[in-house]
Amino acid sequence: MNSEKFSTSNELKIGLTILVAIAIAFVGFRIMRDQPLFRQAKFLYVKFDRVDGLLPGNVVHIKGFKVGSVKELQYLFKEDSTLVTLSITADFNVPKGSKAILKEPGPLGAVTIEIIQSTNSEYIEWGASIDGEIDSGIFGTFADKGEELADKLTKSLKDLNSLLVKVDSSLYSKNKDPINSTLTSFEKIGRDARQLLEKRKADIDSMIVSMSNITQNFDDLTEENKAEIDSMLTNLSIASAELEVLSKNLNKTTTSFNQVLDKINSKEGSLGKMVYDESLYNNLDSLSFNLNELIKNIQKDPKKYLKHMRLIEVF
Amino acid sequence: MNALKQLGQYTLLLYQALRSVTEFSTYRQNLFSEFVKIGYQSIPIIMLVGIFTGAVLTLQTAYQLDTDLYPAYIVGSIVAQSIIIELAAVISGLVLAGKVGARISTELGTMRVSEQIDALESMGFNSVAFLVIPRIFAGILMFPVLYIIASTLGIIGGLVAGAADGILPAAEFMKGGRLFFFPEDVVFGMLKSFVFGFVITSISCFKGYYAFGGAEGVGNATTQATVLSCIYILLADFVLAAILL
Repeated sequence: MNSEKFSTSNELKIGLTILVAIAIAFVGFRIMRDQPLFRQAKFLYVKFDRVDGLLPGNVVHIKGFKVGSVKELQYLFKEDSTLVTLSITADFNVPKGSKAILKEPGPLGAVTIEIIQSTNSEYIEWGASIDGEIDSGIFGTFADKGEELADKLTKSLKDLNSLLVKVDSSLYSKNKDPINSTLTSFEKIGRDARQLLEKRKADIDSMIVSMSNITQNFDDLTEENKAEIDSMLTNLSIASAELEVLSKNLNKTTTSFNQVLDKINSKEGSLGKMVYDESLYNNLDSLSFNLNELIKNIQKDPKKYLKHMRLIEVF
Repeated sequence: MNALKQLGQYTLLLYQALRSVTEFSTYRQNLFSEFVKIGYQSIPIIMLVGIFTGAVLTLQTAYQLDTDLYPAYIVGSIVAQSIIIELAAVISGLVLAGKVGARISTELGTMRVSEQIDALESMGFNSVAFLVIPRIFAGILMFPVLYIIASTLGIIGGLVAGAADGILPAAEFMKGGRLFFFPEDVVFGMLKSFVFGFVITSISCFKGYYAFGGAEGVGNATTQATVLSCIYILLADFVLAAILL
């Protein structure tokens, strides 16, 4: 009886041990595979042409929020595409027509899958397939743009090339060849100049020698008359100083004169009025005319004017 | 020569055990008590081994990978996968070679030198069925269970150590662990522990069953059982890795 009790206790312990181990294994598996502990995991299937390093355990997002993970990848040889099983843990439903987008990572990130929800009010059943697209990410974008850019660049270069060919043909065609003829003329001028130089080489040489002699003479002269030149320069210096004073005075005078002229110009003062006021001239003119008339009249009839005037009284 | 003789003896013992597998009534009683002794009573030491293996592995992996070249969660990947594939099975195997192997060989050796086995035989008991089969069975069935406990606690220990030491948060650790978690690895680890269970119990039974020479003989048998168990665990580990990975 004792042994029977012992045995029962043993069986209990064994049962307990194995049960605990199985429970731990189950829970551990669920946790490690990122599946919900007590609910049945919900699966979605997506096909991608290529998966770019997607691994089981990579995250599934909706608008950046983690809703599940990649459970399994299976390459389908017949369709040349990869069937991805997504395990969805979050409590939500996927509208019909939603898409799964495979997002390529940045430099260090992992590949993720983003589910883009459609606005459809009907929901798909779990275990169904949704469409998959590949978003090549920022590097992909750069690559695409780069390709476009390269195409454009190629076209531009082609255009440039054809332009250059045209320029080339227009400039160097044999019939009308301005550049060539210009260059030929230049060449001819150069040749002529050289010939001239060669011909007159002796003259030029002697000219240079003469020039050298002149300079030498001048040098000697300067050496000999150094003292005189010095005093001359001193005098010149003094003269120039005086000239400076003179120039200053002259400057002052000019300024004053300018002021006077300005005043005259601005019709100020008697001189100014005289210059610009016509009345004086008019008066003088009429005076001279009248005087003329008077003299004429006096000549015509001196008695009339001189009747009352005695010569004696006048002088 | 002696080694060949021993190999023959060992094979014969296993053959005899295999032939007596059908005598369930003979070893039923012993089977359950061995389950408890090998499995249930080893749980505390296995938990300890698991937790500390995981904790130390986390700290040391973080120390070794202390560069900005890798994201921190890689530590979690390395720790979890190392524990699942290798350490939970091998370290608990080595520990159990001492704990379980020594007990089995001492038990059987003492029974042999005190002629209890002869007494069983003379009473008409199949001593191999009565003594060896339940121990080997308990070994191969309970070791995978212990492996599950060890690996789970190893990962938990690593996670706690990583979080407590500020190496990486628990969520990061789990992210890394999940990244390289493959169910095949768990199967592989369980297969390893299954093989180790067989290696330890069979070698210990063999050494104890054929012990001779009194108390000293029992001591020798126990030493040899422990040492050989350790050696064959490492050998089996290598062979399994080479064949299966």
